[in-house]
Amino acid sequence: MASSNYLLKVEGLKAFYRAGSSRVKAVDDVSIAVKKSEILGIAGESGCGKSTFALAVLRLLKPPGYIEDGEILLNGVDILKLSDKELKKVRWSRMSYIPQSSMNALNPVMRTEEQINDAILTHGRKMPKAELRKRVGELLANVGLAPEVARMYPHELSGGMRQRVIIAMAIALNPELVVADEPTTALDVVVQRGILQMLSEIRWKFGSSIVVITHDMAAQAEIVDRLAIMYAGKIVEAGGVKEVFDEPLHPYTHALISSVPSIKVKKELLGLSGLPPDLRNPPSGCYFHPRCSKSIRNRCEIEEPEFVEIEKDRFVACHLCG
Amino acid sequence: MITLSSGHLLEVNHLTKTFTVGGLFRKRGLIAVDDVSFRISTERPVIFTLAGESGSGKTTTARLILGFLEPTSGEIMYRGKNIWAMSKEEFKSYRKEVQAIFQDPYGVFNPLLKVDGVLKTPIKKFKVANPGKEANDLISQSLEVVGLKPEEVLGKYPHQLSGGERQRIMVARAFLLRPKIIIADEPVSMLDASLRAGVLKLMLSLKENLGISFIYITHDLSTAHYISDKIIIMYLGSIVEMGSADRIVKEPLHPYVQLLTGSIPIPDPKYRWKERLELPKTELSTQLKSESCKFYDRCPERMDKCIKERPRLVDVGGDYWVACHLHR
Repeated sequence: MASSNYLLKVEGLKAFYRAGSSRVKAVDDVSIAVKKSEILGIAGESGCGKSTFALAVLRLLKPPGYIEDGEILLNGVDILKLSDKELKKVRWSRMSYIPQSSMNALNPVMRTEEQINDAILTHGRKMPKAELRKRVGELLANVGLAPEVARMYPHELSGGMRQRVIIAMAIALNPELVVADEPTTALDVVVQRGILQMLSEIRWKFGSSIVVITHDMAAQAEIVDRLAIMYAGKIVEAGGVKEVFDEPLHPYTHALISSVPSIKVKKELLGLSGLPPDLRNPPSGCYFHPRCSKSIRNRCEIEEPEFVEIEKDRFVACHLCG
Repeated sequence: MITLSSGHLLEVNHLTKTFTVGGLFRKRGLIAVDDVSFRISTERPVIFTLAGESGSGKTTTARLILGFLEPTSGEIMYRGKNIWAMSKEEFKSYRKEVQAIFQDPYGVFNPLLKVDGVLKTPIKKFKVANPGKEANDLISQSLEVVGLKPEEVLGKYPHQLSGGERQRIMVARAFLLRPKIIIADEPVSMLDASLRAGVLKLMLSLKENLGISFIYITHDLSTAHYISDKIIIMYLGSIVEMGSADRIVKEPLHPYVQLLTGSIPIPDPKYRWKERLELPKTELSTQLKSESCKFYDRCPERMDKCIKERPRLVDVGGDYWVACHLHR
């Protein structure tokens, strides 16, 4: 297992939220794998379960959220079976997290170096002061920040700089896996480009695998190797990013791609009508069928399509395919 | 005066707004909008984009045009009349003809007011229809124009609607008053992509079929390029480039606009960024000399002249304007 090509293998993951007497199936039977030093993108609209997926993989999901079932194998070790003590060792040193509102994730009364020291000392190794200082300098250089940023407080930094400090913390212990949830959402376009390129560079420099979660299809197209599309708690399509964009198989993927304008080619935007389903009470059959223009009568509203590999590394859950 | 402006519906002339920031002891002026001028003609409806990064002054410009803020200097002329010199009646009709929709379709609604109430308020205020059947017909018609079915949304509370539906209701509310211009401040940035397309297409159709012009305020040049005729790029309160949407996105002249358009992600893995972009290593000094080009610190092509003289916005031909010493 440890010698396999895959760093992360998620099998049949179910992460739900308790809501009164009902359950919200935010992540419902998701299976996906990430290769070593690969960037996997997870895209989908708000409420599709992509952030819950990130939290579940890192075992950071808090009540009322819980993991109902599944396996999360990091280098063959099931994260879900680890004791709290073992988990603490793995977290940050082997897998780290760039949270969604990372702009506000920094402690406002700590200098940059103290925040980074904290991340290193809490989760990893003991280090003498001089070495620690050297490490902070290296990390800042890796994210393109000047050494003097170490002595600065968060309020002295712009949004893009704070985001780079967060990235420096995330890579502080050379983790094998970095999960970034909407890493560039609130940033200006030039800074967004810088940060996305930096994530892509980390993978080459340190060999880390990265899971990038964002609704922004253009950002996905720029940096990810493989792309998974989530809809209503399920992955409906996955494959190489070029293949998915060139020839989307699932009607939802197609709608998502054709609703984003491109400055290269002016084409008519398609969009999608209707709303994603209420996950407390999802529709029968394929969850997408009420919004799907190609749904097959007497099939899609009754039978749930299976998520199958129809070609090498091309996965889809749709009755129209295969 | 009136004859001079007769071809212009809206004229923004040397608009400047300075805010005082800082506490008691470190008070300083912040120039949010700095000598901004542009015009919207009466000839045919247009979608005009004001684009820029955070702090570029685009939203302050919109608030000035709406009359929410008083300019420090400069003027906003509507149909040849300065909006701050208008009588109460004239200003009321200005506020009827120039409507606004905002970013947050979740926040602008009174949560206790049903959709009917949201739409009846402006009808009462501007007396555009008699209460009763006439008002109800107008509401139904406006909802249909924005692609909503009256029987599905009337009687509902805002929380029972999606973000896209709420934004459409805001457009319907503006449309009730038959405006000439709608100022749309980031109207789609909080919506999911699939719903965004619908609102953008609605703006296009209101322009093409009903003759309404838009001032679209956004940081997103992809959507701006998709719907606009003209784009203005602002940087730290000033216009740096202005002209046809296609030209600004495809052949930008100002080094800042080149950096900006080169950083727009393309939703197609065939066109990935090639060179690596270097972000600044530390905070740039905010000490800007008033005579220098505002982009001097970040400009890859800066020259001595740029520190001594701030470039003016000039027409480089074809109603295309740039403020850069490289282009005269």
